[in-house]
Amino acid sequence: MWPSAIQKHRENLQRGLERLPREVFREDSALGHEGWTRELILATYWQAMTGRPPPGGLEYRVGNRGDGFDSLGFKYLPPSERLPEDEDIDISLPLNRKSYGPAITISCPWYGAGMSYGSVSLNFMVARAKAAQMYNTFTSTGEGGYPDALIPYKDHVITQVSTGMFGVREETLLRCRFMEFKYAQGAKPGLGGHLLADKNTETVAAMREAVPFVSLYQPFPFHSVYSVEDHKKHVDWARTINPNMLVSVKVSTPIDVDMVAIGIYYAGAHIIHLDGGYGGTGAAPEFAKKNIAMPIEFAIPKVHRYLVEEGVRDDIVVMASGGIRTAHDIAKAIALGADGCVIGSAEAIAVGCTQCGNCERGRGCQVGIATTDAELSQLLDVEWAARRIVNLYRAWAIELKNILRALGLRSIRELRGRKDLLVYYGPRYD
Amino acid sequence: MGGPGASPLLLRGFELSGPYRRFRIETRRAPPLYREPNRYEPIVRKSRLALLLLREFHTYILSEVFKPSNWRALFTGRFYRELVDGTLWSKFRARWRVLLDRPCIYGVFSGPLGGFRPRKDLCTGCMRCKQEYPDVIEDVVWGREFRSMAFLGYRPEDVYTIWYEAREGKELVKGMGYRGPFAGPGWDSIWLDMSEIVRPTRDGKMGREYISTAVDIGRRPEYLKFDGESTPVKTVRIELPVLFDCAETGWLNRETIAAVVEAARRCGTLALFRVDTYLTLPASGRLYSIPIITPEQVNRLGPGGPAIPLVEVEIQGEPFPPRSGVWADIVIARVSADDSIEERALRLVQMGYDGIHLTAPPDGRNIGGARRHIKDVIRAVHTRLVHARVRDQVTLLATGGILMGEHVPKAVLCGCDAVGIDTSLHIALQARITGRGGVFRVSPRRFDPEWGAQRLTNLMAAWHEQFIEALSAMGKRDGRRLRGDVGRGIFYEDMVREAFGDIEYAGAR
Repeated sequence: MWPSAIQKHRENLQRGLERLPREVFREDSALGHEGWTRELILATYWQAMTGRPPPGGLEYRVGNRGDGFDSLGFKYLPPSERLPEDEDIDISLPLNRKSYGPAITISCPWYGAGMSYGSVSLNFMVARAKAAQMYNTFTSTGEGGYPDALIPYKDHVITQVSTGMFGVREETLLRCRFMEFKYAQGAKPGLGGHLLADKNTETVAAMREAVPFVSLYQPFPFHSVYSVEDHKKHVDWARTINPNMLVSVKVSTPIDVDMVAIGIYYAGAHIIHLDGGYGGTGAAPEFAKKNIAMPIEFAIPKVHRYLVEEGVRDDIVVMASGGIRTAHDIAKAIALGADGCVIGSAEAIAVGCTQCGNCERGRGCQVGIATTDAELSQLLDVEWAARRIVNLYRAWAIELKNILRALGLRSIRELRGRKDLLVYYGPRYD
Repeated sequence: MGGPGASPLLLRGFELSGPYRRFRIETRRAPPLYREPNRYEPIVRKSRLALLLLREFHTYILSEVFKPSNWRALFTGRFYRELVDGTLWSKFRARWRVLLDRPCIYGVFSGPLGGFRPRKDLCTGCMRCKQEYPDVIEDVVWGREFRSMAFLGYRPEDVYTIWYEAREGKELVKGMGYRGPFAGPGWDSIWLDMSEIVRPTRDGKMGREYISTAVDIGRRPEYLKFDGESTPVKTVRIELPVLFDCAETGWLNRETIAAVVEAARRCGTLALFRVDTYLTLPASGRLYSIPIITPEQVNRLGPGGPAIPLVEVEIQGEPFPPRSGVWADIVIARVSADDSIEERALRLVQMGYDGIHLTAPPDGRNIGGARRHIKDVIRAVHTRLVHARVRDQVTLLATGGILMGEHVPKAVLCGCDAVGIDTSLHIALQARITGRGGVFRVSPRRFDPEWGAQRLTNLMAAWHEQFIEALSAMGKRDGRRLRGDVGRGIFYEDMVREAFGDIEYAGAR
């Protein structure tokens, strides 16, 4: 059969992505930024291609933000004291520490963040779900409904319920093993989600029960929650509908995030998901991304310490997101006090995202990830994308195990809250 | 609130009494008059592009045409049938379309000469061309002219953001997370807080509840007296905590002055001009303007002159001129922020001045021997006035270093009531700015004042939106409640100490 233009471009893109990590870029290249530097992006392409950390040359551990994860390092043991290569290292993470709800353990200490139908293409959603299934972890629907194409992967799909209640149905809650209340998002805390008119196509609008080609703004916050007691009722409502699911509560990082966390514990949720200010998004005001709420690096130790002091740290799982780019970021977040991480942008980069920031437009995404355009969506082949995401997971798992061996730890759970294993290179304020 | 005998400015409709009016700024698209530099430039290896086109022509056209099966078809009826019914032609066109279909979804290669002459103004830096044809596209780089736009504390992206805001009248909404450094000096060392679950404002930015951004400038008594001898409250209400500070006369031309005054009117705020400029304004323009005088110029606005409700007196040295010498309802002392500003500000307030306007270099950095940032100066002066128990009676303004919309809520949070903007309004008006770093020159250009007024109005609408966004995220319904509320700020130094203080320090990398 004669190739269509889409096929031509898809093949070219797949070939090109394999070549890019070896390409020489100019100093003034527009690829990358302080957070996701050019080298980090290219290293992610490499990992997604090979399933292994880059052999050398490309910086794949830190970016160039100047502080936070990029100013933290590990106090590795001398080579002679490290665990041997053949030592089995456990990086699995149990997601339920309560006496109720299902016992679910994921094979790696991360799962996929919410990206809604509308903010990303269906092909990308399905590829993420497929990868989650292959690697025994989870991905999240985001708040835009639960497309039927995800049903075959339902045991690895988190149903998100957020303030707009877009596409929320009882059947989707009954179907899932894991649901998430999204109170706020790190990239736009206090604002609610944005889906600009361009991307709200007829199919997206139908899923959300909204009017097509009208910008959709979620309200903020939940209009049924005025207090921690209301929040508890919220969690109870979800668990009444489906007692056999995990309940996670996603919040952003205000100054009193520790109080918020204890409120979530009190409400009976299984997981606290902290989303830091520098997290990804399909569309958000630039003002909010940069200026509202604190980065995740500050929020994790704050919450961890408070839960420890309250004596409940071992009764709840803390997941962190908002600027998690590498296996090293995951290890640092866990050493700061999280149990695991939630990732989003890294998966997008694995399948060709360049961090150009045009995701808010209907036809903005050049590789078919953050688009609802029928033609552009086809640029992303589901099988190919799922394979690349799994490869990235594999590379991260290898790197994470290497980090643990170098620290003399046999399980990722031994790393939690071990700030004594970290060193800090940033500015000092005594 | 206008008292008996209040001047026209105090009664011109900004007073609290009167019909309810929900403040909003009317925006209209105001495209740039002068070309904006391209942000990105794709660099095409032209010889390789020519080879690519030949290769694709061979792959998609020639190899198909010269396929043996096609030659055999010449001897069958199918070829002639398809020739007659147009099938052959449509097949050829489909192949031609595939051949010509270019990688850029933004049309950079859609010009008549395609990749040989890319339309750089359309490039968004998505890198699709580089991803798809890494051997033909050398790279996509930042535009040279765009990169050179950095000056003062502005990064090129900041200038672009101000242009966007002035053009569209709304804030920039983009995909992807935050792109910049973790934190930085000055304003970038503060994050604004938000309320997670419990919050008084239920609807947020997009909601129905009104969030006020109004500010009162002037003096209010510490407490009310009911003995008939109380002094009337003398304040001017502006609708958003931003003033247009045009004290730098060298940056002004006739069009800029007209645009600034008109924009001040539309936005319900005020513009500051040196008295010489002020006196050239028509009476309608003076209603929305504040004159800046030196102590020597006090007589130029005395009785018999124009009625001036609000004046700024620029005070440089001591002794300070007495407040009573200035004939106006509200007199603000305009003082340069330096190392001893806290004490000087307090003394001026005690002398009866109704407010303090701190002025700093345009970048707001390296102030005085202590090389403080304007945020630190604002906090210090605010705190000094709070400790002296006079803060609520007077107004604190600050100009210098307010470059972007995000700086306004942060400045208010640090303790001032409103801020003055200077360089940003000239950027919005597409003034020619030459020089680098802190040494630069602003040369205003010619434009229709109506266009200029709309650009500034749009800019303020975008900044107003951001201010509301900050307030709604915090659950505040009144901008005045943010003033000095440092508890709603997240300070970088404090957080580094708290989060990383117990981690072994390995020295700066």
